[in-house]
Amino acid sequence: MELVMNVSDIQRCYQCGTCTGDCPVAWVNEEFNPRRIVLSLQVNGQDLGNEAYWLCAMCFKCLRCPRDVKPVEIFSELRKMAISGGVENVGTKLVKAFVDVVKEYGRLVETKFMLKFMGIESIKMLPPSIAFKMWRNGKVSISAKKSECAEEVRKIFEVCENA
Amino acid sequence: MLRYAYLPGCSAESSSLEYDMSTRAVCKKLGIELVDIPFNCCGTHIVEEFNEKAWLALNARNLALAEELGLDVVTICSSCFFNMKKAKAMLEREEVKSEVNEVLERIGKKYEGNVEVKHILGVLVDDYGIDGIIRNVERLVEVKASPYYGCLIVRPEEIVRFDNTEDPKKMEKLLENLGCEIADNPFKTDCCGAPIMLIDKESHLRMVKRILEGAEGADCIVTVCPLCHYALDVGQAVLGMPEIPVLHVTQIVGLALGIEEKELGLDKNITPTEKLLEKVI
Repeated sequence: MELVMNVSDIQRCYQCGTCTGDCPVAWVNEEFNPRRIVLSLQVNGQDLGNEAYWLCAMCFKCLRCPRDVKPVEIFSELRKMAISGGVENVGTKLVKAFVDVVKEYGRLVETKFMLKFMGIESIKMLPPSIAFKMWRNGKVSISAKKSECAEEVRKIFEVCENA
Repeated sequence: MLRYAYLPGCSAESSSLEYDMSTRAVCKKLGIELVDIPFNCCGTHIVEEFNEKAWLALNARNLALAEELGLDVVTICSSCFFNMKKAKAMLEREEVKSEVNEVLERIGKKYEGNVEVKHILGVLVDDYGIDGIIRNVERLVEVKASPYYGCLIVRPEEIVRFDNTEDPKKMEKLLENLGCEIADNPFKTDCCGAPIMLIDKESHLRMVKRILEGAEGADCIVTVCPLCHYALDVGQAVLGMPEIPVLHVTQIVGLALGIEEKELGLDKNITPTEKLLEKVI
């Protein structure tokens, strides 16, 4: 199974737009147009600071490509390059928050993740009445404790990041 | 008796606690044994893009925990399901496996590759079987139910191999046998946008709206993923749309099995479920 993007994939695209017709993000946000982004990659190459790369929801709807280009995997590769290239934007900030929480707790503690990513702005994510209902129903973990696996997870990251 | 290593995923401890509650209740009632394991986060594509080797090791660790018990692993989360399946496929290459095992050795674990990854919907429909479920139905749930599959339980096909990618039917098959009438949603395999929720809330809510409109006229929507559930259940409250209760698949199965609503966490859902329950009970 080959799951890694090949740069020649991009050149195979003949701009039919099947991916974009299938893409549920493109349906609701005209700034995210996979066909146009692939065209721009063909003509201008990548722009790792481009925040549109982070709007792909990784839903794999675009796999019906007649040229087998797989835009979903192209976006994933571009984000990998942005992360390892030290790009600072909303996407890499989200990655850092997510990874930091998993490293510390072994699992994704949703509240900690949101606070780390958005800070105090996270209270604006939900209208107060809904946020209250979430809390009342036990769905907001404010005082999270580390999972049993936390130490092993920390070690996994330590070994892999220093490899 | 069916036994599995149980990996409910991270959101089972908070935003989706009623999915975990109802899964445990349904499995207990059916005599399916779930063995808890000290699982870790599957990492999702976020950790995969950050450090592929760490992501592989996280998933290999979870699978190794199931291997220690000699059990297949069942999850209730489509993201955990997909991530474990994808990692397992990549770990089939000997050089990848041995590299990841070098990492796992440092925490005293070893990955062999001899357990299967299951989703709770597959366990109910395929492993336990529809006939077995029918034998346990105590009350028919005669409501119009609209199945919503989302993405990662059906796509990409070469990794998950779960159901028809374009028009999956496992949930329909299950719900029809619980007494439900199916309300088809043309967007049942479209994405709810949960992965981009924190980056572009507006787009996410527009994606949610489209799916909710597709389910118009249904008495409830049924989901198989905690993220899809959050998106639709909380999303419609945020959008102020007409209320369609969103049930986790195990909640509706539990109702048919005669399990008490409280045990299924039906009071934890954000979109109220009372009117639906009046029709059932």
